Amino acid sequence: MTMNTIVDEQQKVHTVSKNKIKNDNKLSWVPIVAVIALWELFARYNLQAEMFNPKFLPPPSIIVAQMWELVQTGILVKSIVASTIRVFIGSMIGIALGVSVALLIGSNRVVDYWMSPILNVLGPIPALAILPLFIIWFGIGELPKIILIAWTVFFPVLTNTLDGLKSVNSTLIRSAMSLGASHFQIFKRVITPSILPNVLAGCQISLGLAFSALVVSEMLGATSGLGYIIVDARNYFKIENMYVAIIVIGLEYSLFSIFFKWIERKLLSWRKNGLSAVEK
Amino acid sequence: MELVLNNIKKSFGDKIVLQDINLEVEDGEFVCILGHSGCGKSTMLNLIAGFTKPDSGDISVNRVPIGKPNQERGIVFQEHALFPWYTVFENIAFGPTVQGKSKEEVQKIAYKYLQMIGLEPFEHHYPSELSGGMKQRVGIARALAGQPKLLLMDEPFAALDVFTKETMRKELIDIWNELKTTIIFITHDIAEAVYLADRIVVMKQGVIAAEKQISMKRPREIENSLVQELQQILIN
Repeated sequence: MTMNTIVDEQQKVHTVSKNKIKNDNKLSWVPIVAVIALWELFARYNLQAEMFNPKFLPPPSIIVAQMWELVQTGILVKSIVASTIRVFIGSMIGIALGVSVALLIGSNRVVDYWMSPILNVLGPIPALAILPLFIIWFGIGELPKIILIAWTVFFPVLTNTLDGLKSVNSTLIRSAMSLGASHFQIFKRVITPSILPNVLAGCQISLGLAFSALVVSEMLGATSGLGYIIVDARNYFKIENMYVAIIVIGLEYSLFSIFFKWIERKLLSWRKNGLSAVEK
Repeated sequence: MELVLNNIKKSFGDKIVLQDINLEVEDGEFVCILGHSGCGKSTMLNLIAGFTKPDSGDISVNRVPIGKPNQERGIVFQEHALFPWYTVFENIAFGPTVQGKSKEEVQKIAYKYLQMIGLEPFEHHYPSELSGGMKQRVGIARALAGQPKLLLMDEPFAALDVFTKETMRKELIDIWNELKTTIIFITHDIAEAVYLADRIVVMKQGVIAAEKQISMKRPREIENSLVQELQQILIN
């Protein structure tokens, strides 16, 4: 190849990466602000008009004021911390177990034979159906909540990792072997990066499940946490508090999700974005 | 380096894919294995690489029977098989790295082959950002950086366009002239085989149908009677 064509190709490569950056900057807060403004207007109007009980739908400004009150009493921060720790530890355990079991199943036929059918039976059971059982077994402390979250995270991570293992390109393994790589090096340098997108996809799916497991477990037998605020608010008819907890859960989920996306981008920077396949 | 295939037979189920294969390849020789798709040439390459085992017969390098795939026999695949998560440089450095060479040595070797293929400006690019010809160059550099005694090439240029193909052949001959690595090159392209090889081994339905020594000086003109002769062998 002549130097000319190389420079040419280089320019092409640069334009592609520039387009990628341009597509990422989009204004996503405009619709959110619009909905909040509409909500405020409508709720304020309803305070006077009383088309239905205004307590059912307080305006966002009142919810924010209530949120500030809960922050000052310390309840909100305490609940956020408690919930975050639960969902974090539970997810970590679930991810670690999901990936490890998938690797065991993928590398050992005997393990596959014994474990796969059992996991196939257990997998489809909704985690929430097992929660009361977990409470009976493990009490109402942290343990059943963390186990429940780990359980819900475990299955999607497991199945996604297994899918990833099945689709590892055998030619890449052959390449590595013929370059002198050992078993461990193949695992580290070929299999791990191959399955990483699948593992992360599994984590992404699990995140939503983990949050619902968190909230439900805090609604049944807990004395702290965001789910607990919701139940407590229902018991004392403090509907603003319910909204506060719901919104905080939503925000926290979004933060976790952004954090995941950030990790994904860091780890998978080599992947071509399918959306950038055609310029718009 | 001397590669010997002695009386190789290989079948998949009832279907015999290779039989009575006897082949000796000398040190520094450029051998092309030529044949239709399905003639068993890729199976032969997989056997030499050590990915599959023959039903009977044996394969040895310098009189030592080959074992599992290792760095002794480097491979360039048709679909280049670069690691998509590594940059051009990291791909080329893969062999020396996993072979436990020191950091400086890895750098030195990888740069040597990066320069040889002329892709220095692309060292930090990922394979997905390269053209087909560039990818295959990296594939060749990566295989060479593993410092194999024998380089196996499985239709490496088959997926490239005609113009790129031609440049790549020239470059391959240049590289081979410089390094004198023994090369076994699989192809279904008669002209390609005539252009490249010291010797052409023609395969048909699992057996070696003919062998042709080519003493023509390089660089070669591709149009000649030998192409027609080989065509006759393959068609009949």
